[in-house]
Amino acid sequence: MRDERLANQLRVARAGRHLTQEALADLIGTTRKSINAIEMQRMVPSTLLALKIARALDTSVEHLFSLVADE
Amino acid sequence: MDHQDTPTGKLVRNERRGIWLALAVVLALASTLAMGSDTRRALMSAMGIAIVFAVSWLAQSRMRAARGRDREAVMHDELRRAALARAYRGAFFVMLGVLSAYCLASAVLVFALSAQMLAALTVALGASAFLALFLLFDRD
Repeated sequence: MRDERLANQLRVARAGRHLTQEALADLIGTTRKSINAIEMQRMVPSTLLALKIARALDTSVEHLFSLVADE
Repeated sequence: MDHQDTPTGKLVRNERRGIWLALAVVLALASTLAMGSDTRRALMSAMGIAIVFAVSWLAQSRMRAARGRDREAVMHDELRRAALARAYRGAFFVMLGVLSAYCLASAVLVFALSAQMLAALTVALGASAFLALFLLFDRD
């Protein structure tokens, strides 16, 4: 089976809304560290957090997160 | 604006500072333990480590008493929770690994460690491993 990993467009989407990591973290009730860890792909967010991020950025989870083949 | 100056940033920074301090105290106690071999010192060190954890627990209580939304953000932070789980697991395996190695090594080497000393060293090792791993996994 082909290995896949989670990629995300969070940094782009956040910048598009002119939000800092702190501002986004504050909007969804988490810390800047978590936002940074997700953007750096060091952490896979829970479904709940992914939905909260998508709602805060007025977009869909599918737009923010996608599966890509692992190299 | 410095991002660390947000209320949640301050809470996180205070927590990490406390953990660094706890790690330093535990390591200092463990080093005094390693220097001597008497039972009294072992018991004192184990008590010291217990005190460090009691103080950490009190600090956590202060965090719980902090303002609602910021506290919730820090306490339910996913990175923090994942780091805690990984640190618990890592410290557990470190303790198992070291005790297994001690078991194997004691079959061929003679160690002059009393049961109290071994127990206190295990406590110090487990505590240090947990704190260090948490700081590592929960880093920015």
